[in-house]
Amino acid sequence: MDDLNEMGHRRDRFACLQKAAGQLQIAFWELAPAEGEGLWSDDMRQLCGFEETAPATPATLLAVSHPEDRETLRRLLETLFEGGADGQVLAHRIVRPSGEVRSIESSVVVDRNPAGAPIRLYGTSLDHTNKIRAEEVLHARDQELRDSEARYRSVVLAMTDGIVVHGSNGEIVTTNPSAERVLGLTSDQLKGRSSLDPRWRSVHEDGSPFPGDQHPGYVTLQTGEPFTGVIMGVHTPDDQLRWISINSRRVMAPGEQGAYSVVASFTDITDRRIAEEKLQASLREKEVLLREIHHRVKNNLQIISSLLYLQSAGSDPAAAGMLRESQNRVSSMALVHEMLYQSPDLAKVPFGDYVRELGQSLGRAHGVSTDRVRLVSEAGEHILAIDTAVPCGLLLNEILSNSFKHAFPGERSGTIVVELTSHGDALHLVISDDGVGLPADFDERRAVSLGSKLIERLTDQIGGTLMRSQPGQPTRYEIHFSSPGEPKR
Amino acid sequence: MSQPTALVVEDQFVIAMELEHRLSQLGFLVLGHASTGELAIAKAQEHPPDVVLIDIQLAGRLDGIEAARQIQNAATHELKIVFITANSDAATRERAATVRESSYLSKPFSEEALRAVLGL
Repeated sequence: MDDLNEMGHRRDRFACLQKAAGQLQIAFWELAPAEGEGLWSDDMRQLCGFEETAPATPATLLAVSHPEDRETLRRLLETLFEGGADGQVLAHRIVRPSGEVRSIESSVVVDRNPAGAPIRLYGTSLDHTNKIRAEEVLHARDQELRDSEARYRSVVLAMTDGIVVHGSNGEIVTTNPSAERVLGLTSDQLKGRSSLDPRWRSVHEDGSPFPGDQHPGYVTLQTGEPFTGVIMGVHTPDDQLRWISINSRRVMAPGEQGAYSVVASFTDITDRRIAEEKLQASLREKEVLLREIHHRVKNNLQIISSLLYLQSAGSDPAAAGMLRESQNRVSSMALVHEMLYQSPDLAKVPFGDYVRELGQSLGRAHGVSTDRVRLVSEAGEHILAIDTAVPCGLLLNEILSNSFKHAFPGERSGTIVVELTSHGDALHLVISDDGVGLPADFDERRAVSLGSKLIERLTDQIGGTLMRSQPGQPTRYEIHFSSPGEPKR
Repeated sequence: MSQPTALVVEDQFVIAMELEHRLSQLGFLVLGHASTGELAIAKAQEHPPDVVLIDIQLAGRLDGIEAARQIQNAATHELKIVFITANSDAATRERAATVRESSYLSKPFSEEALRAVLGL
């Protein structure tokens, strides 16, 4: 009966403790060596997944214990029942029937009889699973952050581009080895320097000073404006001029409006600039040489023209006329070289300009005023390469000379029209006049003049086909040819 | 009215011969021919011409433009300068244009072009 009363008291006391412990989300339990004397609080049953009938015994607790922790727990309970010191705390895991693992921390105190022998264990268990998981997540994140920082640091260290970070006051706070190598300064020498430091002696591409308050890093810090590919020359301590291409970006603090630092990255383009300068110098040299060649060709053509003139000076009128025609032919070639010399790429001739110049020159040579015979050039914006321009020029010289010479006898006036049109690579050159035309009895087969032969052979040279008007009709020449790779201007 | 005089300054002798012949045909008395700027200055001092036909590119220390400038500056009477060149860039033409009473004749030149530049 006493035992029953005792058990009733214990149950009442346990219920009170359970209520108090439940408020704190602490599971409470009692274990006794004998079965039927132990108690699980509701929180303990819930925590461990115990069924209502599960007896509150060490065996029940050990049964749900994680296999790896079971032996430790068993020894603890055994030690305590054998009189070991109480107040022990054990972190261990239990496995619920569902297989879910929970991490708990259990504290155990020993209830002893007057003789000091242990008669019961009072335990509290606290579920730390969520806390531990949170700690694990935090730890993992922390590790991830450290790994990420290490990765970025190794990337920055390994970069061939220089990196400097300016703090909010504009002074450099971080550099990488490439920045130190390119700028010829140690990390310690760089740190604390700002863009305004006069020792940079920075210059623009044209050699003019590049003030510190215009440096990309400085401006980005002041305005937030990012920069890409700003070229700047800086002097290293050993007085070498290094050329760098700079990018700058601001770094914002979370939730802040202004930049609290600026990252400036830069590439050393000194070697590239030197190579470019050499290339430019080489191109200029080539251009000078090419101009000199055109100049010398034209000068030599003048010498040929002079020789023909001097030869004609003592010749009879017929021979002198033929020599003058040859002089005109030389002049038409010289005009090509003059235009090549004046063209931007030294390789192309603007055909419309050529026609006008040649027409004026031939008109003067034949004593025909532009008031009496008008030359109309409708060559558009076509340009011709030298291989086509020279034979075309000679062709024009022959046909225009014929017109000036024969088409407008006496004081007859009229017009000569030169048209050049294109359809893709195909070019269509038409030279016509409204003069008297070839005599009706002109026998083409018997026409053996050098001019006629030149017109036919030069048409062949440019791979063209020739059609001309019939005797008795106004003169009209149509030449179809192709000129690949000679686009419009 | 006395016969107009001309000095030809050209380092290509064949071209100089043509110029001398043409000038003679046009009624000029050709005072001589010089192949360098320095010689041209000396000849112009010795026999001041009415017109100097001078190549821009000449062998020697002085180019045609500089020689012509000195001849023009030393001239005591009206002097016409005609620059002759196979080719020249815009900068050279601009420099040539700074010489007083100067004009420009492109090689190869025709008699008509020569007449025009001499104002005949």
